[in-house]
Amino acid sequence: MKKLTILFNGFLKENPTFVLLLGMCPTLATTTSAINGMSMGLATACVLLFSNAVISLVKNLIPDSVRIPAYIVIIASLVTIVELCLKAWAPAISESLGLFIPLIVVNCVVLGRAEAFAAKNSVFDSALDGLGMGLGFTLSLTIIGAIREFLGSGNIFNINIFPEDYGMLIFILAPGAFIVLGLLMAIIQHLKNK
Amino acid sequence: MKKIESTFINMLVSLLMVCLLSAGLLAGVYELTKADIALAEKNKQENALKGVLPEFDTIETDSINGTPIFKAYKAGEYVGVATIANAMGFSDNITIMLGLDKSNNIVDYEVLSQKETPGLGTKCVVWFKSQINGKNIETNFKVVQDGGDVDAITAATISSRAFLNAVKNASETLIQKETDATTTATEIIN
Repeated sequence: MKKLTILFNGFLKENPTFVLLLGMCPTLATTTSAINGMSMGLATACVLLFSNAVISLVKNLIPDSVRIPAYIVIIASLVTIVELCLKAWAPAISESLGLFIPLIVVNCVVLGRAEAFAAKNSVFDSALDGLGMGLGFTLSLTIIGAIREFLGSGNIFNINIFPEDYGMLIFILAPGAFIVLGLLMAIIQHLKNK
Repeated sequence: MKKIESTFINMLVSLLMVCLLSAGLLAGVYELTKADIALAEKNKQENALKGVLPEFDTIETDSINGTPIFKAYKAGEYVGVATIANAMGFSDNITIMLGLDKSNNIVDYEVLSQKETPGLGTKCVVWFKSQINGKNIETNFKVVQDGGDVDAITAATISSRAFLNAVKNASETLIQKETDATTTATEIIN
């Protein structure tokens, strides 16, 4: 498989959010603004890159029956490392993402790609896949976050476009997340089927 | 390279190795980031204090009934005091840091943590600044709905009441401090 194909796979063809429908929980919860969505996506991308690489590295050393617990320990350790680094060197981002950073461990995209790709491919290919999926995830989270922020408060990336009083509050709350996600999914499926 | 067989010994050893290596790596990163995390915490508190107190160069930390208070001094002279207080809001505790100047007037407040409804209760972060800043800490702040003068956040009366409760809790701590502060001031003059 061509290297670039692997990398760009996660952007549209197998986008984790709109096509694979993985990682819905953090998607809905952290896309209250564009910057929040982007930060969450980038943190997940970081974990995906390293978890895919490490798991591909040790795939032949871990017996099949214990691969799930082994992968989870590896992923959890990587997430904790990301969490500690954010707390130390980007405390503002750490605070705004709060509880959702440790929740990257149970983000299905991470374990899903580990099982579906890293367990069966070379280290370099797995790293590319992890990076591509992570960037695709970041892209979708940023788009959803930007739409919700714009409709809900008139800002995008904290730049004011129209007065906040005219925003539709529902888009910042949970129902709005589902609505935006569902509509975007429908649009993308329609474009893909054409 | 064929995968290792799932024998008991293999499973035991591989899991053991994964856990040992992860634990070691985590311990290493923890040590590496320990100092910076402590620094970030300290900076966060210092920035909050700078925001709610008049200009100062030293802070003396004390505590009253377990609540921390921060006495501020500039060139040895007492300029103000701040404390942390909280009250149960709509969803969870609202925690604020409130600062007074030496005449016991509120300088400013900062909301340290809250989980109120976005777009509604979350406005408490700035909404009350124009209404309580500059007023004396002993003022009995109440929302209009309860017979007072403070305009509550539109559609967020519960959050507004909770915020004012936090201010009241802060005032109770700081008034107790007031008595001590007067004593200290007398000593300096003498």
